[in-house]
Amino acid sequence: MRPQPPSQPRRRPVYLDLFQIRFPLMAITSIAHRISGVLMILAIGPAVYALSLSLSGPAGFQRVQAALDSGPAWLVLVVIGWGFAHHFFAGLRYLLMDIGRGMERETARRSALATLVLGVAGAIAIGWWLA
Amino acid sequence: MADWQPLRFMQAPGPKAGRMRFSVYRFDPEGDAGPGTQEYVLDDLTPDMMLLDALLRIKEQDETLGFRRSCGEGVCGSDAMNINGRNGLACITRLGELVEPVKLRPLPGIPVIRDLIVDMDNFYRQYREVEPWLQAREAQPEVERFQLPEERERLDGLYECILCGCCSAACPSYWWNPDRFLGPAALLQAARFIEDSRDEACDKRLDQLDDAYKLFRCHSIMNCVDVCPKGLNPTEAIERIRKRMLRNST
Amino acid sequence: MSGFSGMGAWLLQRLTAVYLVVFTVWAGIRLALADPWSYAAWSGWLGEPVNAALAWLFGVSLLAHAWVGGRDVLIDYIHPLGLRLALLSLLAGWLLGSGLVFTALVVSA
Repeated sequence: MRPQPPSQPRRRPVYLDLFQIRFPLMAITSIAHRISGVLMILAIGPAVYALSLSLSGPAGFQRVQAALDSGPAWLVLVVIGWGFAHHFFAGLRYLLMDIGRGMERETARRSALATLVLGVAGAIAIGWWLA
Repeated sequence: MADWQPLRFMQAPGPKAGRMRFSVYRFDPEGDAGPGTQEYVLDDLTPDMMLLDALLRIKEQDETLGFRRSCGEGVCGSDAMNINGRNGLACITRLGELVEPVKLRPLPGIPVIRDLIVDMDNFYRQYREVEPWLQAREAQPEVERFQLPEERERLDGLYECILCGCCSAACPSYWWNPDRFLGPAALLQAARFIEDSRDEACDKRLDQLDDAYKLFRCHSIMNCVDVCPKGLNPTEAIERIRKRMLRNST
Repeated sequence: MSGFSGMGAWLLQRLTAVYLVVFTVWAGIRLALADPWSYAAWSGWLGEPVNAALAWLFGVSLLAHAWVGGRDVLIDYIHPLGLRLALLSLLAGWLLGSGLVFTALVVSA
Protein backbone atom coordinates (compact mmCIF):
# COMPACT_ATOMS: atom_id res chain seq x y z
CA MET A 1 0.00 0.00 0.00
CA ARG A 2 1.38 3.32 -1.02
CA PRO A 3 1.74 5.88 1.78
CA GLN A 4 -0.78 8.66 1.79
CA PRO A 5 0.55 12.08 0.85
CA PRO A 6 1.29 14.03 4.04
CA SER A 7 -1.72 16.22 3.65
CA GLN A 8 -4.64 15.92 1.31
CA PRO A 9 -5.56 19.03 -0.64
CA ARG A 10 -7.27 21.10 2.01
CA ARG A 11 -10.97 21.71 1.68
CA ARG A 12 -11.78 25.26 2.62
CA PRO A 13 -15.37 26.31 2.07
CA VAL A 14 -16.18 30.02 2.18
CA TYR A 15 -19.31 31.22 3.94
CA LEU A 16 -20.85 34.07 1.99
CA ASP A 17 -24.64 33.82 2.03
CA LEU A 18 -25.70 37.30 0.96
CA PHE A 19 -29.30 36.66 2.04
CA GLN A 20 -28.22 35.81 5.58
CA ILE A 21 -25.76 38.64 6.03
CA ARG A 22 -27.28 41.80 7.41
CA PHE A 23 -26.44 44.93 5.45
CA PRO A 24 -26.50 48.35 7.12
CA LEU A 25 -28.24 51.26 5.39
CA MET A 26 -24.89 52.53 4.15
CA ALA A 27 -24.41 49.32 2.19
CA ILE A 28 -27.87 49.55 0.60
CA THR A 29 -27.21 53.14 -0.47
CA SER A 30 -23.84 52.10 -1.83
CA ILE A 31 -25.08 49.19 -3.95
CA ALA A 32 -27.92 51.38 -5.22
CA HIS A 33 -25.30 53.97 -6.19
CA ARG A 34 -23.58 51.30 -8.23
CA ILE A 35 -26.75 49.93 -9.82
CA SER A 36 -27.90 53.43 -10.75
CA GLY A 37 -24.49 54.16 -12.25
CA VAL A 38 -24.57 51.07 -14.46
CA LEU A 39 -28.13 51.93 -15.45
CA MET A 40 -27.03 55.34 -16.63
CA ILE A 41 -24.02 53.97 -18.52
CA LEU A 42 -26.51 51.84 -20.45
CA ALA A 43 -28.67 54.93 -21.01
CA ILE A 44 -25.84 56.99 -22.53
CA GLY A 45 -26.19 55.50 -26.03
CA PRO A 46 -29.98 55.92 -26.28
CA ALA A 47 -29.66 59.41 -24.82
CA VAL A 48 -27.17 60.47 -27.49
CA TYR A 49 -29.46 58.97 -30.14
CA ALA A 50 -32.43 60.91 -28.79
CA LEU A 51 -30.31 64.06 -28.70
CA SER A 52 -29.25 63.65 -32.33
CA LEU A 53 -32.84 63.07 -33.37
CA SER A 54 -34.06 66.11 -31.45
CA LEU A 55 -31.46 68.30 -33.16
CA SER A 56 -32.09 66.93 -36.66
CA GLY A 57 -34.99 69.31 -37.31
CA PRO A 58 -38.49 70.18 -36.14
CA ALA A 59 -39.80 66.79 -37.29
CA GLY A 60 -37.17 64.88 -35.33
CA PHE A 61 -37.82 67.05 -32.28
CA GLN A 62 -41.54 66.22 -32.53
CA ARG A 63 -40.73 62.51 -32.78
CA VAL A 64 -38.62 62.59 -29.63
CA GLN A 65 -41.32 64.51 -27.76
CA ALA A 66 -43.97 62.03 -28.89
CA ALA A 67 -41.83 59.06 -27.92
CA LEU A 68 -41.14 60.54 -24.49
CA ASP A 69 -44.87 61.04 -23.94
CA SER A 70 -45.72 57.38 -24.48
CA GLY A 71 -46.53 54.99 -21.62
CA PRO A 72 -43.53 52.63 -21.83
CA ALA A 73 -41.18 55.61 -22.14
CA TRP A 74 -42.69 57.02 -18.96
CA LEU A 75 -41.73 53.90 -17.05
CA VAL A 76 -38.22 53.87 -18.49
CA LEU A 77 -37.80 57.56 -17.68
CA VAL A 78 -38.96 57.07 -14.10
CA VAL A 79 -36.42 54.28 -13.64
CA ILE A 80 -33.64 56.37 -15.22
CA GLY A 81 -34.89 59.31 -13.17
CA TRP A 82 -34.52 57.30 -9.99
CA GLY A 83 -31.03 56.29 -11.13
CA PHE A 84 -30.10 59.88 -11.79
CA ALA A 85 -31.56 61.25 -8.55
CA HIS A 86 -30.04 58.52 -6.40
CA HIS A 87 -26.65 58.75 -8.08
CA PHE A 88 -26.71 62.53 -7.78
CA PHE A 89 -27.44 62.61 -4.04
CA ALA A 90 -25.27 59.59 -3.20
CA GLY A 91 -22.47 61.29 -5.13
CA LEU A 92 -22.92 64.49 -3.15
CA ARG A 93 -22.78 62.41 0.02
CA TYR A 94 -19.44 60.91 -1.03
CA LEU A 95 -18.06 64.31 -2.06
CA LEU A 96 -18.97 65.65 1.39
CA MET A 97 -17.22 62.67 2.96
CA ASP A 98 -14.14 63.43 0.88
CA ILE A 99 -13.91 66.81 2.55
CA GLY A 100 -14.34 65.12 5.91
CA ARG A 101 -18.07 65.67 6.51
CA GLY A 102 -20.41 62.99 7.82
CA MET A 103 -17.86 60.26 8.44
CA GLU A 104 -19.18 59.25 11.87
CA ARG A 105 -21.21 56.07 12.01
CA GLU A 106 -24.51 57.62 13.01
CA THR A 107 -24.24 60.57 10.61
CA ALA A 108 -23.31 58.21 7.79
CA ARG A 109 -26.35 56.07 8.56
CA ARG A 110 -28.68 59.06 8.56
CA SER A 111 -27.23 60.50 5.35
CA ALA A 112 -27.56 57.04 3.75
CA LEU A 113 -31.25 56.98 4.63
CA ALA A 114 -31.70 60.54 3.37
CA THR A 115 -30.05 59.58 0.07
CA LEU A 116 -32.38 56.61 -0.41
CA VAL A 117 -35.42 58.77 0.32
CA LEU A 118 -34.25 61.58 -1.99
CA GLY A 119 -33.64 59.08 -4.79
CA VAL A 120 -37.17 57.73 -4.57
CA ALA A 121 -38.55 61.25 -4.18
CA GLY A 122 -36.69 62.23 -7.34
CA ALA A 123 -38.22 59.34 -9.25
CA ILE A 124 -41.71 60.31 -8.05
CA ALA A 125 -41.12 63.96 -8.98
CA ILE A 126 -39.98 63.04 -12.48
CA GLY A 127 -42.87 60.62 -12.94
CA TRP A 128 -45.34 63.29 -11.82
CA TRP A 129 -43.75 65.99 -13.99
CA LEU A 130 -43.82 63.77 -17.10
CA ALA A 131 -47.32 62.41 -16.52
CA MET B 1 -40.49 35.47 5.95
CA ALA B 2 -39.62 36.74 9.40
CA ASP B 3 -36.66 34.39 9.21
CA TRP B 4 -35.28 36.26 6.22
CA GLN B 5 -32.28 38.12 7.62
CA PRO B 6 -33.07 41.68 6.50
CA LEU B 7 -36.48 41.50 8.18
CA ARG B 8 -35.42 39.84 11.40
CA PHE B 9 -34.98 43.13 13.21
CA MET B 10 -38.78 43.27 13.31
CA GLN B 11 -38.83 40.31 15.66
CA ALA B 12 -38.69 40.90 19.35
CA PRO B 13 -35.21 40.45 20.82
CA GLY B 14 -34.41 37.19 22.53
CA PRO B 15 -35.87 35.84 25.73
CA LYS B 16 -35.26 37.56 28.99
CA ALA B 17 -33.91 34.30 30.41
CA GLY B 18 -34.16 30.56 30.25
CA ARG B 19 -34.14 28.53 27.07
CA MET B 20 -32.53 29.68 23.84
CA ARG B 21 -32.08 28.09 20.45
CA PHE B 22 -28.88 28.32 18.44
CA SER B 23 -28.17 27.42 14.83
CA VAL B 24 -24.46 26.91 14.34
CA TYR B 25 -22.45 26.53 11.13
CA ARG B 26 -20.67 23.19 11.04
CA PHE B 27 -17.91 22.01 8.77
CA ASP B 28 -15.64 19.04 9.30
CA PRO B 29 -12.53 19.14 7.08
CA GLU B 30 -11.93 15.41 7.64
CA GLY B 31 -15.44 14.31 6.73
CA ASP B 32 -16.88 13.98 3.24
CA ALA B 33 -19.89 16.20 3.81
CA GLY B 34 -20.01 19.85 2.85
CA PRO B 35 -20.77 22.61 5.32
CA GLY B 36 -24.12 22.55 7.15
CA THR B 37 -25.79 23.87 10.27
CA GLN B 38 -26.65 22.24 13.58
CA GLU B 39 -29.28 23.22 16.12
CA TYR B 40 -28.54 23.44 19.84
CA VAL B 41 -30.83 24.28 22.73
CA LEU B 42 -29.59 25.62 26.05
CA ASP B 43 -31.51 26.08 29.29
CA ASP B 44 -31.02 28.35 32.30
CA LEU B 45 -29.53 31.25 30.38
CA THR B 46 -29.77 34.85 31.54
CA PRO B 47 -29.88 37.92 29.28
CA ASP B 48 -26.69 39.27 30.83
CA MET B 49 -24.68 36.23 29.82
CA MET B 50 -22.41 36.68 26.85
CA LEU B 51 -22.67 34.66 23.69
CA LEU B 52 -19.26 33.14 24.44
CA ASP B 53 -20.68 31.70 27.70
CA ALA B 54 -23.38 30.01 25.66
CA LEU B 55 -20.84 28.67 23.16
CA LEU B 56 -18.80 27.18 25.99
CA ARG B 57 -21.98 25.51 27.30
CA ILE B 58 -22.68 24.15 23.82
CA LYS B 59 -19.17 22.76 23.72
CA GLU B 60 -19.90 20.85 26.94
CA GLN B 61 -22.82 19.21 25.07
CA ASP B 62 -20.85 18.62 21.89
CA GLU B 63 -17.11 18.75 22.13
CA THR B 64 -16.65 18.43 18.37
CA LEU B 65 -17.71 22.06 17.90
CA GLY B 66 -14.72 24.24 17.03
CA PHE B 67 -14.35 27.97 17.71
CA ARG B 68 -11.55 30.28 18.82
CA ARG B 69 -11.52 32.22 22.04
CA SER B 70 -8.98 33.53 24.46
CA CYS B 71 -9.35 36.58 26.68
CA GLY B 72 -13.13 36.55 26.88
CA GLU B 73 -13.39 40.32 27.26
CA GLY B 74 -13.10 41.85 23.80
CA VAL B 75 -9.37 42.50 23.87
CA CYS B 76 -7.77 39.63 21.97
CA GLY B 77 -10.17 39.48 19.04
CA SER B 78 -10.15 35.69 18.62
CA ASP B 79 -13.88 34.99 18.83
CA ALA B 80 -15.00 37.12 15.89
CA MET B 81 -17.91 35.52 14.04
CA ASN B 82 -21.05 36.34 12.14
CA ILE B 83 -23.84 36.64 14.71
CA ASN B 84 -27.36 36.85 13.28
CA GLY B 85 -25.94 38.24 10.06
CA ARG B 86 -23.61 40.75 11.64
CA ASN B 87 -19.92 40.36 12.49
CA GLY B 88 -19.02 40.75 16.14
CA LEU B 89 -17.16 39.30 19.11
CA ALA B 90 -19.03 36.52 20.94
CA CYS B 91 -17.47 37.48 24.28
CA ILE B 92 -18.95 40.99 24.35
CA THR B 93 -22.33 40.22 22.77
CA ARG B 94 -25.10 39.91 25.35
CA LEU B 95 -27.58 37.07 24.89
CA GLY B 96 -30.40 39.47 25.77
CA GLU B 97 -29.93 41.46 22.58
CA LEU B 98 -30.10 38.46 20.24
CA VAL B 99 -33.05 37.27 18.17
CA GLU B 100 -33.76 33.53 18.13
CA PRO B 101 -32.66 31.19 16.80
CA VAL B 102 -29.26 32.76 17.19
CA LYS B 103 -27.53 32.11 13.89
CA LEU B 104 -23.80 31.68 14.29
CA ARG B 105 -21.71 31.58 11.14
CA PRO B 106 -17.99 31.95 10.45
CA LEU B 107 -16.69 35.34 9.29
CA PRO B 108 -18.01 35.80 5.73
CA GLY B 109 -15.68 35.58 2.76
CA ILE B 110 -12.80 33.99 4.68
CA PRO B 111 -11.96 30.30 4.08
CA VAL B 112 -13.24 28.04 6.84
CA ILE B 113 -10.84 25.62 8.53
CA ARG B 114 -13.49 24.01 10.72
CA ASP B 115 -16.88 25.13 12.09
CA LEU B 116 -16.48 28.75 13.24
CA ILE B 117 -12.69 28.79 12.82
CA VAL B 118 -11.49 30.67 9.74
CA ASP B 119 -8.10 30.82 8.06
CA MET B 120 -6.64 34.24 8.86
CA ASP B 121 -3.33 33.69 6.98
CA ASN B 122 -4.23 36.06 4.15
CA PHE B 123 -5.46 38.65 6.65
CA TYR B 124 -2.18 38.55 8.58
CA ARG B 125 -0.15 38.56 5.36
CA GLN B 126 -1.87 41.81 4.43
CA TYR B 127 -1.17 43.20 7.88
CA ARG B 128 2.54 42.47 7.34
CA GLU B 129 2.37 43.95 3.85
CA VAL B 130 1.73 47.46 5.19
CA GLU B 131 4.92 47.12 7.29
CA PRO B 132 3.29 47.93 10.63
CA TRP B 133 6.38 49.17 12.40
CA LEU B 134 8.04 52.54 12.81
CA GLN B 135 10.61 53.24 10.11
CA ALA B 136 13.22 55.88 10.78
CA ARG B 137 16.57 56.17 9.09
CA GLU B 138 17.84 58.75 11.52
CA ALA B 139 20.18 57.37 14.17
CA GLN B 140 18.54 56.35 17.42
CA PRO B 141 18.48 59.42 19.69
CA GLU B 142 19.91 59.38 23.21
CA VAL B 143 16.55 59.35 24.96
CA GLU B 144 13.50 58.80 22.78
CA ARG B 145 11.87 60.06 19.61
CA PHE B 146 9.91 63.07 20.73
CA GLN B 147 6.36 63.71 19.68
CA LEU B 148 4.13 66.67 20.39
CA PRO B 149 0.85 65.96 22.18
CA GLU B 150 -1.01 67.06 19.01
CA GLU B 151 1.02 64.64 16.93
CA ARG B 152 0.25 61.85 19.35
CA GLU B 153 -3.44 62.71 19.23
CA ARG B 154 -3.52 62.03 15.51
CA LEU B 155 -2.97 58.35 16.28
CA ASP B 156 -6.11 58.09 18.40
CA GLY B 157 -8.58 55.79 16.71
CA LEU B 158 -5.81 54.15 14.69
CA TYR B 159 -3.74 52.17 17.18
CA GLU B 160 -6.54 50.49 19.16
CA CYS B 161 -7.31 47.84 16.54
CA ILE B 162 -7.27 44.26 17.87
CA LEU B 163 -7.11 42.59 14.42
CA CYS B 164 -10.25 40.54 14.98
CA GLY B 165 -11.16 40.72 11.29
CA CYS B 166 -14.81 41.76 11.76
CA CYS B 167 -14.35 44.77 9.45
CA SER B 168 -12.56 43.14 6.55
CA ALA B 169 -15.00 40.21 6.64
CA ALA B 170 -17.91 42.67 6.39
CA CYS B 171 -16.47 44.55 3.41
CA PRO B 172 -17.92 43.65 -0.02
CA SER B 173 -14.78 44.94 -1.75
CA TYR B 174 -12.78 42.52 0.39
CA TRP B 175 -15.12 39.63 -0.45
CA TRP B 176 -14.61 40.14 -4.18
CA ASN B 177 -10.85 40.79 -4.10
CA PRO B 178 -9.48 39.33 -0.83
CA ASP B 179 -6.07 38.65 -2.33
CA ARG B 180 -5.39 42.06 -3.86
CA PHE B 181 -7.42 44.58 -1.83
CA LEU B 182 -5.76 45.03 1.57
CA GLY B 183 -9.07 45.45 3.41
CA PRO B 184 -10.07 47.92 6.14
CA ALA B 185 -8.03 46.33 8.97
CA ALA B 186 -4.67 46.45 7.16
CA LEU B 187 -5.41 49.91 5.76
CA LEU B 188 -6.21 51.22 9.25
CA GLN B 189 -2.76 50.00 10.29
CA ALA B 190 -1.22 51.63 7.23
CA ALA B 191 -2.84 54.91 8.30
CA ARG B 192 -1.52 54.45 11.84
CA PHE B 193 2.08 54.60 10.55
CA ILE B 194 1.48 57.10 7.76
CA GLU B 195 0.06 59.49 10.37
CA ASP B 196 2.90 58.93 12.84
CA SER B 197 5.12 62.02 13.04
CA ARG B 198 8.14 59.86 13.92
CA ASP B 199 7.85 57.65 10.84
CA GLU B 200 10.08 58.63 7.92
CA ALA B 201 8.75 56.19 5.35
CA CYS B 202 5.49 58.03 4.69
CA ASP B 203 6.22 58.69 0.99
CA LYS B 204 7.19 55.08 0.38
CA ARG B 205 4.09 53.84 2.17
CA LEU B 206 1.84 56.10 0.13
CA ASP B 207 3.55 55.03 -3.09
CA GLN B 208 3.00 51.38 -2.31
CA LEU B 209 -0.73 51.90 -1.84
CA ASP B 210 -1.26 53.82 -5.07
CA ASP B 211 -2.57 51.19 -7.47
CA ALA B 212 -6.00 49.99 -8.57
CA TYR B 213 -6.33 47.37 -5.82
CA LYS B 214 -4.51 47.78 -2.51
CA LEU B 215 -6.45 50.83 -1.31
CA PHE B 216 -8.61 51.97 -4.18
CA ARG B 217 -11.02 49.02 -4.10
CA CYS B 218 -12.45 50.87 -1.08
CA HIS B 219 -15.69 52.58 -2.13
CA SER B 220 -16.49 54.04 1.31
CA ILE B 221 -19.36 51.61 1.87
CA MET B 222 -18.68 51.84 5.63
CA ASN B 223 -19.71 48.29 6.57
CA CYS B 224 -16.38 48.19 8.42
CA VAL B 225 -17.40 51.15 10.60
CA ASP B 226 -20.78 49.55 11.22
CA VAL B 227 -19.34 46.34 12.71
CA CYS B 228 -16.07 47.35 14.41
CA PRO B 229 -16.38 46.09 18.01
CA LYS B 230 -13.90 48.73 19.17
CA GLY B 231 -15.87 51.58 17.56
CA LEU B 232 -13.04 52.48 15.17
CA ASN B 233 -13.49 54.10 11.78
CA PRO B 234 -11.40 52.44 9.05
CA THR B 235 -13.21 54.37 6.30
CA GLU B 236 -12.10 57.64 7.80
CA ALA B 237 -8.55 56.30 8.12
CA ILE B 238 -8.59 55.36 4.42
CA GLU B 239 -9.93 58.83 3.59
CA ARG B 240 -6.99 60.31 5.51
CA ILE B 241 -4.53 58.22 3.49
CA ARG B 242 -6.17 59.44 0.26
CA LYS B 243 -5.89 63.02 1.43
CA ARG B 244 -2.17 62.61 2.06
CA MET B 245 -1.71 60.95 -1.33
CA LEU B 246 -3.48 63.84 -2.94
CA ARG B 247 -1.31 66.39 -1.13
CA ASN B 248 1.81 64.44 -2.09
CA SER B 249 0.91 64.16 -5.75
CA THR B 250 0.14 67.83 -6.29
CA MET C 1 2.33 50.57 -10.54
CA SER C 2 1.11 54.03 -9.93
CA GLY C 3 -0.27 56.87 -11.96
CA PHE C 4 -3.72 56.67 -13.43
CA SER C 5 -5.12 53.47 -11.95
CA GLY C 6 -5.13 54.52 -8.30
CA MET C 7 -5.14 58.12 -7.10
CA GLY C 8 -5.39 59.47 -10.66
CA ALA C 9 -8.61 57.61 -11.45
CA TRP C 10 -10.09 58.51 -8.08
CA LEU C 11 -9.28 62.19 -8.56
CA LEU C 12 -10.67 62.22 -12.09
CA GLN C 13 -13.88 60.66 -10.79
CA ARG C 14 -14.26 63.36 -8.12
CA LEU C 15 -13.35 66.32 -10.33
CA THR C 16 -15.75 65.25 -13.08
CA ALA C 17 -18.41 64.62 -10.43
CA VAL C 18 -18.17 68.22 -9.26
CA TYR C 19 -18.57 69.57 -12.79
CA LEU C 20 -21.43 67.16 -13.51
CA VAL C 21 -23.29 68.42 -10.45
CA VAL C 22 -22.71 72.09 -11.30
CA PHE C 23 -23.70 71.72 -14.94
CA THR C 24 -26.78 69.59 -14.21
CA VAL C 25 -28.13 72.07 -11.72
CA TRP C 26 -27.45 75.04 -14.03
CA ALA C 27 -28.74 73.40 -17.23
CA GLY C 28 -31.67 71.86 -15.38
CA ILE C 29 -32.83 75.26 -14.17
CA ARG C 30 -32.25 76.87 -17.58
CA LEU C 31 -34.19 74.18 -19.43
CA ALA C 32 -37.02 74.10 -16.90
CA LEU C 33 -37.43 77.86 -17.38
CA ALA C 34 -37.26 77.55 -21.19
CA ASP C 35 -40.97 76.78 -21.53
CA PRO C 36 -42.53 76.37 -24.02
CA TRP C 37 -40.44 73.58 -25.42
CA SER C 38 -39.80 73.95 -29.13
CA TYR C 39 -37.22 72.91 -31.65
CA ALA C 40 -36.21 76.53 -32.23
CA ALA C 41 -35.60 77.20 -28.54
CA TRP C 42 -33.78 73.90 -28.07
CA SER C 43 -31.43 74.11 -31.04
CA GLY C 44 -30.99 77.83 -30.46
CA TRP C 45 -29.88 77.19 -26.90
CA LEU C 46 -27.28 74.65 -27.95
CA GLY C 47 -26.28 76.90 -30.84
CA GLU C 48 -24.85 79.46 -28.44
CA PRO C 49 -21.07 78.85 -28.43
CA VAL C 50 -20.77 79.18 -24.64
CA ASN C 51 -23.60 76.73 -24.03
CA ALA C 52 -22.19 74.34 -26.60
CA ALA C 53 -18.75 74.46 -25.01
CA LEU C 54 -20.14 73.87 -21.51
CA ALA C 55 -22.36 71.06 -22.79
CA TRP C 56 -19.42 69.46 -24.58
CA LEU C 57 -17.36 69.63 -21.41
CA PHE C 58 -20.29 68.01 -19.62
CA GLY C 59 -20.34 65.18 -22.15
CA VAL C 60 -16.61 64.58 -21.83
CA SER C 61 -16.81 64.67 -18.01
CA LEU C 62 -19.75 62.28 -18.06
CA LEU C 63 -17.88 59.80 -20.22
CA ALA C 64 -14.70 60.01 -18.13
CA HIS C 65 -16.78 59.59 -14.97
CA ALA C 66 -18.61 56.62 -16.50
CA TRP C 67 -15.30 55.05 -17.52
CA VAL C 68 -13.82 55.20 -14.01
CA GLY C 69 -17.05 53.94 -12.44
CA GLY C 70 -17.67 51.20 -15.00
CA ARG C 71 -14.07 50.08 -14.74
CA ASP C 72 -14.42 49.86 -10.95
CA VAL C 73 -17.48 47.65 -11.31
CA LEU C 74 -15.69 45.31 -13.72
CA ILE C 75 -12.53 45.12 -11.57
CA ASP C 76 -14.66 44.26 -8.54
CA TYR C 77 -16.80 41.53 -10.04
CA ILE C 78 -15.19 40.15 -13.22
CA HIS C 79 -12.02 38.23 -12.47
CA PRO C 80 -11.20 36.11 -15.56
CA LEU C 81 -8.75 38.38 -17.36
CA GLY C 82 -9.98 37.68 -20.89
CA LEU C 83 -13.60 38.37 -20.06
CA ARG C 84 -12.66 41.48 -18.11
CA LEU C 85 -10.61 42.87 -21.01
CA ALA C 86 -13.44 42.10 -23.42
CA LEU C 87 -15.98 43.92 -21.24
CA LEU C 88 -13.60 46.83 -20.66
CA SER C 89 -13.16 47.15 -24.43
CA LEU C 90 -16.92 47.02 -24.89
CA LEU C 91 -17.34 49.76 -22.29
CA ALA C 92 -14.61 51.86 -23.92
CA GLY C 93 -16.24 51.42 -27.34
CA TRP C 94 -19.68 52.30 -26.00
CA LEU C 95 -18.38 55.47 -24.35
CA LEU C 96 -16.02 56.54 -27.14
CA GLY C 97 -18.69 55.96 -29.78
CA SER C 98 -21.21 58.00 -27.80
CA GLY C 99 -18.56 60.67 -27.27
CA LEU C 100 -17.76 60.98 -30.97
CA VAL C 101 -21.41 61.23 -32.00
CA PHE C 102 -22.01 63.73 -29.20
CA THR C 103 -19.02 65.86 -30.26
CA ALA C 104 -20.25 65.92 -33.86
CA LEU C 105 -23.72 66.97 -32.69
CA VAL C 106 -22.47 69.78 -30.49
CA VAL C 107 -20.09 71.09 -33.15
CA SER C 108 -22.75 71.15 -35.86
CA ALA C 109 -25.50 72.55 -33.63
